[in-house]
Amino acid sequence: MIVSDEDLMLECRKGDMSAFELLVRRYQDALVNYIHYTINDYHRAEDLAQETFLRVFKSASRYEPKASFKTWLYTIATNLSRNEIRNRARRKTYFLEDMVDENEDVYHSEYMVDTRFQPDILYEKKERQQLIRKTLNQLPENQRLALTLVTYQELSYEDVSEILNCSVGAVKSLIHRARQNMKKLLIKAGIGESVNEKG
Amino acid sequence: MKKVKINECQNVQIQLSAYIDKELPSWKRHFFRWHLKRCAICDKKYKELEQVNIFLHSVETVKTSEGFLSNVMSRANSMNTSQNESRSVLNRIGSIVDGLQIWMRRNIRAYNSLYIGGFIVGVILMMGVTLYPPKIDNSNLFSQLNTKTIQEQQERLVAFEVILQQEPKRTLKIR
Repeated sequence: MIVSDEDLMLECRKGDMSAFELLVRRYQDALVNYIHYTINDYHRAEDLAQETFLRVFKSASRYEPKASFKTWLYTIATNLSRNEIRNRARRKTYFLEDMVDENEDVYHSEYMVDTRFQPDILYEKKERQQLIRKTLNQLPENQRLALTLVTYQELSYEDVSEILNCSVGAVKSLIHRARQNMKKLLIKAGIGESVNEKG
Repeated sequence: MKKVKINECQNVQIQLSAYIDKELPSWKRHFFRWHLKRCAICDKKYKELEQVNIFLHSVETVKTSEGFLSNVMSRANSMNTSQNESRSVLNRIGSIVDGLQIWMRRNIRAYNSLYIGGFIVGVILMMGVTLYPPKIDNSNLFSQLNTKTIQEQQERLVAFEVILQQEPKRTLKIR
């Protein structure tokens, strides 16, 4: 029998550490991926995911099973991601991918010469994925968060509206605009040519 | 393909993302399917957005590092112990008060001669104070306060006199 997240949280409130461990096991991959998609920095994403779980643990004593645990967890993670995005914008943090020109090979650049263990196909696939991540990061903050929550976390529009603290209608238009912007950006990056060909 | 109304197309195109995410009710989904079969423009836009979705899903997910879980648990444990320590100080004070209460309940009983004696003395004292209240001279107590108020009143009067001695700056002339 699968114990629900809410029941595990109630056990955690009583001080059961194994219940908390089970919750971390359930959501660790999904949460790290979600933050990774939004900030495009794996190591920082892990740090923020840890911070999210610790905040959950800290406020476990005040937890009331009124809302879904998943929504609550993603709300905390979203707030942390938002702070990170804004801090980065203020500090103007640059990444290797941003330092290289759009048409230049990211992994064959002077910044990263060693490609001995990357066969061509794997390299192309990775480069393409990296470009998609980069394109996703070019979207406005709310569009990026909404699209990531719906596409990768498979959350409903209602859950997303609760997490982003806006109406369902606003989420609908956010996602629609995000997809349209993604289409334009992908074409600009040279990946989305097939988008038009298919049509 | 038949020509469909422009308004209908606009309505469909706005909600294409919701259709892709299966966020529309079933009757609307049927209508969308029917519309997309007949309208080439909307069908093209739908395919474009779906392709974007396919691109997004092509990005591989990452796995958390091996030490992630142990890190979270160790930090949570240390947080838990620090919380317990702060709680333990309050718990100690509480246990001391509890112990004192238990000791008092056990040792100071209602039929104890010391307790009964103390109680009787207290009652007699209260009765004595109410029946024979101590006489206090109120005039001595408030004499100092009264002199102060008289002095203040005199000062005010002097000040009033000084103001009256000044000549007025303007005088009214009656024509």
